[in-house]
Amino acid sequence: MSTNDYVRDLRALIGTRPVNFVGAAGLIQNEGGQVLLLRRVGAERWGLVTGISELGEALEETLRREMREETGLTLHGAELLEMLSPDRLVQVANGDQFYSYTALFRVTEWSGDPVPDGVEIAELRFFKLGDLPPLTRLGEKAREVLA
Amino acid sequence: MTAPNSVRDLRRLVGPRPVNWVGVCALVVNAAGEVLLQRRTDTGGWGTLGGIAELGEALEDTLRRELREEAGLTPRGAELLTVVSGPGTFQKLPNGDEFYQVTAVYLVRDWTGVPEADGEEGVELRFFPLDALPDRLGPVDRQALVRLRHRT
Repeated sequence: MSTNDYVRDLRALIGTRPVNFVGAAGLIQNEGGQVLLLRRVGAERWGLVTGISELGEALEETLRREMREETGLTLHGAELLEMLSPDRLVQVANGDQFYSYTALFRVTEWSGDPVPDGVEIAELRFFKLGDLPPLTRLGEKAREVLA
Repeated sequence: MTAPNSVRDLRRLVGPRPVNWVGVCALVVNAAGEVLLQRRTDTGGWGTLGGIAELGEALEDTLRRELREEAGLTPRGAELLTVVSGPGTFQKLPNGDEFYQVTAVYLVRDWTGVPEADGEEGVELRFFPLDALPDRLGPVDRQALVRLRHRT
């Protein structure tokens, strides 16, 4: 997740208390049907491109921005698969608490070569569906969708 | 839209400045293909049923809660049609509160109960044919109903 002005501005007013955040995630496959997964710095599990929406940002734009920031890829087309409700209260290292509502998109058209941003994303690569690493909740969701 | 406790709590801290609210819109459709709308107490205009999610509330639960509160209905199934979001969802309430909406639009064809307005938020409930919808619908309702027309 990249630096988000909306999150920062809201946190300045509400502190660490729980809040509902909405965002988007993208299921990206290559021509061979392999799925793009990324591992965030400090994390062990692999997941999808995802992030929280800015103020008034359309979900497709959130996905477009996060794809560019986290992977260097350009979004050309996406379709909504599901709207995921939170499964738990998330608490991040600085104490901030939130519930996450995530629009899961299938990216139907994209271009570019995936490159991890080197700041938040430690690793980034395509995996065969039969040979997936340990997955985050969103990664598991992707596996369900592709099964 | 209903103002759940989480909304009131957050407003105490952020005041009227714009925030992103996540919630649901329920398109309750009868056997004739008509959609249920409510005439709102605050604005006097017609709108879809639905509202803002409580803190951490699953959107399917928000849908059930709002249908029960606003119309006395119980959904027996719901299908996600689309999610409406973006700059066009901006609203400013008469009290000055500003917000953008991220709204999961559900189609509800199977439900039980007899629609009855709650008398607080909504003063009247009525089924409308999709080709004879009332004027002055909000931006999210308009997009949701366009999607429904394409669907049915």
